[in-house]
Parts: sequence; C-alpha cells; structure tokens
Amino acid sequence: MSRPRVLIVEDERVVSFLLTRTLEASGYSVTACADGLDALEIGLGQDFDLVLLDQRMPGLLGLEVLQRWKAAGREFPVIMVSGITGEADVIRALEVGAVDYIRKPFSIQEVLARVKVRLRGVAP
Amino acid sequence: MIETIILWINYGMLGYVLVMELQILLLATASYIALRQDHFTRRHGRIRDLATSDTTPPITIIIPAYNEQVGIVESVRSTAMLHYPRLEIVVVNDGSSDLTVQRLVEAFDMVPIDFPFRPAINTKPIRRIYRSRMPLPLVLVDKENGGKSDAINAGINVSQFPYFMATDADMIIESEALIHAARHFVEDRDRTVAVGGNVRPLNGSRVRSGSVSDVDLPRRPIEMIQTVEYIRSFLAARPGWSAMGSLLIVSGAFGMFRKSAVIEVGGFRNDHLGEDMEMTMRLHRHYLKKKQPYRIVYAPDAVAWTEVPSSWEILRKQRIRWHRGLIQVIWQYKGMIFNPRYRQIGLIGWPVFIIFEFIAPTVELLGWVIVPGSIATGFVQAAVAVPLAIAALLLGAINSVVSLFLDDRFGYYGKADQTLRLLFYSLAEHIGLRQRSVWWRFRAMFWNPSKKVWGDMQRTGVGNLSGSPGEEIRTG
Repeated sequence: MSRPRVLIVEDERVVSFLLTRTLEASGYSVTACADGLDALEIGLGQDFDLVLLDQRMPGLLGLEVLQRWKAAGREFPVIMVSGITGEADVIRALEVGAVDYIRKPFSIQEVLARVKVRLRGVAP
Repeated sequence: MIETIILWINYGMLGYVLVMELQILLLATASYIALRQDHFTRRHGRIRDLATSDTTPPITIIIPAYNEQVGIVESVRSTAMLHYPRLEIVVVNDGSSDLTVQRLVEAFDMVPIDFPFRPAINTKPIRRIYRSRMPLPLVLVDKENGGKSDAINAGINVSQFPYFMATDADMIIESEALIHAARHFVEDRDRTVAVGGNVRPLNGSRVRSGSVSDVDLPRRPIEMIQTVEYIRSFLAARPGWSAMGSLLIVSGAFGMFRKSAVIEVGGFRNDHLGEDMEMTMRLHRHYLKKKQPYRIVYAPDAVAWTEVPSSWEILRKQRIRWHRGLIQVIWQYKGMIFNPRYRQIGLIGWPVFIIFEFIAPTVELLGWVIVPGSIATGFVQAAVAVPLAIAALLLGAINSVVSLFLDDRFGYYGKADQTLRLLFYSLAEHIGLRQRSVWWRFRAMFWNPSKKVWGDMQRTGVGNLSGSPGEEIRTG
C-alpha cells in the first residue's frame, strides 16, 4: 500500500517546512503549497487522504478554498489550521465541511497526533 | 659597534618573520594530523544517529539583534529550518531604534507572555518577552540597549536548554552544522565546555531562501584575499591549536557553549571589543585554575557563512577593532603569560599567540622600513638581507598554499579555475593585504580604550541577499 498523501496549505515557510518534515518522518507523502489559489488548483486536480488548510493566506482564504472544493465535489477530509478568531469561524468551517479544526497556538506534535487519528486505518 | 647593532637588528627582524612563518607551517602540520583524525572519527561516528537521537543535547540559539529589521525575519526562518532535533531560538532585541521587534511580531504571530525566570547574569532591564503562536520554538526578548554581550547574557537568562549557541543575525549556518558541533558535547559530555565553528566568507556564493545554494568564490580581490585568509586561520591554525588544547578563540559568530560553564564564569563581558576571545580565555583560566579537566574544541565541519567587508574602509575599521580587542584581552590575561599554572595555555598557546599576533605588526612594519633603509645606507648587504626577506615571504606563501590543501578535503572549491584563483590570491595576499593589515594593526595600538563600539560593519541583511523566496541573487 502506498503512503498516505497529505496536502499542507500554509503560507509561513517555516511552519510548512516543519510540518512537512515531521509528517514525512512519520511516513506520509507530503505536498505543500503556500497560496490559496494554488491550493484550490492542486486540490481540484489531485487526490489526497488528508488536507491541512490554513485559514489566513494570500490569494484566497482557507474557508473560501474549502467552499470551492466542496462545490466541485471534492471529498477529501480537511482539517482547518488557524484560529485567531472565535468559535464562529470554527463552526462555519465545520458547517462547510471541515472534519476538524486546530486552533493557534498549536504544536507540530499536536498536528501529527490529529493527522494520525484522521488517518487511522490508512497506513502507516 | 653601531654597525654591528644595526646588523643584528636587521637579522633579528628577518629571523623573527622566518620563525613566525615556520611556526605557522608547524601548526598547519598539526592541523593536518588533527583534521585527518577528525575525519576518521566522523566517518566512523554516528552523525546520522545524532540527528534523530533523544540523547542529542537540546540547544538554544541566541541571536542578538541591534537594528536588524532588514534581515532578522529571514535569519529566524533559516535558523528554524536547521537540521537538529531539539532547538529553541531566542532573539534578543538590544534596544533597536528600528522595526526589528515589529517585523518579528508580524511575521511569526508573536504575543507578549508572562515569563518568570531568575536571571543568572545581570543585564539591562528586559521590557517584554514574546512567544510565537505558530508552532515554532521562538522567543523574542525585548530589552534596553546594553551591547552585544549584554544581549547574549539576557538570552542565556531566558534560555531553557543546557547548551546554547551565540550567533549573528547575518550568519548563514549550514544545515548540518549544529549536529557537527554538538557531536563534541555528546562524545565528551563531562569535559566539553565550548565548541567553535568554522566561519567562511559568503561573498560570491549564491543564497536561496536563507541558505547557501551554490558555493563559489568572490570576484573582487579584496574579498578573495579574505577568503584565503579565513581558510588559513580556520583550517591551518585552529585545528592544530584545538588538538593541543590551546584553542584561544571560539568565534562569536559560531560558538556553542555549555550554559552552566558560561554562567559560572559570569557571562559575556561588555567592556571588551573581542568578547568572544575574552570568554574563551576566561573559561581556560577558570578551569585551569581549578585544575578541573575541560575541553574547548574546534569543529571544522560545523560551517557558517558570513559576508566579509567588500570595501577597504570597512575592512580597515574591522581589523583595527579586532586588534584593539586583542590588546584588551592580552592586558586582561597578562598574568597567564609563561605561568606554568596555566599549563599548555600559559607556556605555549598564549605566549606564541601574543608574540606572533600582537607583536608581529610592529616588527614587520619596522622591518619594511629598516631593512631597505639599512641596505640603502650600506649597513647591511643586500646579498644577505634580500634572500632572507624573500625566504620569509615565500614561506608565507607556502603556508597559504598548504592551508588551501587542507581546505580541499571539504570540497567547496573543487573546480580547476577556483583552485587557480585561490592559488593566485594566496600569493597575492602577501603583496598587498599583508602590508596594509600590518599598518592597520600597528595604528590600532594607539587609541582610547574608553570608546564603545557595537560593530561598524554595514549590514545589508540576509533578507536582502536572498530576496523573496525562491529568487536567486548573487552576492558580492
């Protein structure tokens, strides 16, 4: 069985790098992008087992990207990563179709744990 | 009578320079042996394991920043991406008058936190401490201006890990460098108190997203000469001194320390221009006095790149500052000279350093005046003096070439044209920079030590060099 594919959409290069390094070390195949519009395009064209989607980004906001994916019938699970705002955003994201929401400040290990929970049953 | 005295003064000077060059050659031989041994340990060691092991010591990287708004964000990014299992980055804003704090707060979503700590070293007051809300081990200490040493001390107070590394905001550290340096703490945890890294001139290399993507030699002669100089200092001299337990400088640009040791000796001193050398000497004195076994070692494979001055004016200022720093340290530690209590440092390392680093400019300068003068006035026969002078210069050139050979194993400048250029400038250094440097260092001896300097070098900033992510700009 091939390695589970994870898409990381995160505009801060360091965070993206650290997430990628940690997830790859845990056996996931990672694609990373830093811009809302790029994310939209990649998500429309490729399939993933899980997507980590930052809310605040250049191009398009995370929530907008998520809405457009859903409208296009993309069904991969999406975890929203952000949280400068209150619970309204969390609820909105979950309503639109996110499976989970990680609020700031968060740790890389926490993200890894949540990814593992979501991908239980999928190797590794 | 007078004739004999003048004759012997001449021979003395020429002899001195010859002995100095011979000493460098001896040192280079010692370095060669040390590098070979180190290479052997490295190949059979467990560098790969260290990168992921739980026993690898966690390290706090302290970046003192004074008006670094241009490059600080990029500098933090590249530091956070270094290959090392457990890192903490502490940026200390030393009362900058620019937007250093704001840039960091915006880029890394930093918020003020309550951070209770007990200061181990006295520093200027800390205004605020910030932590990033991103999953980055990043802390920002905003304090009142107190100088670079004071900033490093504040970073030590706030740091959480047992080891720290002090670096400059404009340094580019190689990805594996921390592992190479930390290896020495793992190998001899009880004795190792400090590890110095290998600092190389960045000029001429390509920088991409805060790391060196393509190593190349600089184009300007002034930069090339410094490249040759750095290679000689960091490859022909330091490995040898380190192997003899007499490494007298752990570079401020890349120095890793056991925190408790630095606290024990009272932290970095603010009244020294060469605070890195002063700290190294203080550690030596402390442990030798206590008769406690310790190690201060040099790690040639722990590489960091820095931009060296590309104008004669800035280079002149830098060299004058270095030499004055050296004078301060010599004065401070004069009691160690020829003192058997300080063993290899007191008897060999320190006196040799003083004789050939401090006294050399004066002797050499006088030599350039007196020897030709004596020949012109007929006191000394050109047939004797000229060959001696040429021998000294040739030996100097041989030394430079030998250090190129030592550097070759690192494989940075492997192409034929690079080797040729290095060779050319190794020889050219002895006609040009050497004399200028001698003059600057001679001039440096006349000064008013009460003047304070933070660093005159104009910074363009790593952020500037790297441009926006993905973009390539050639520096130098």
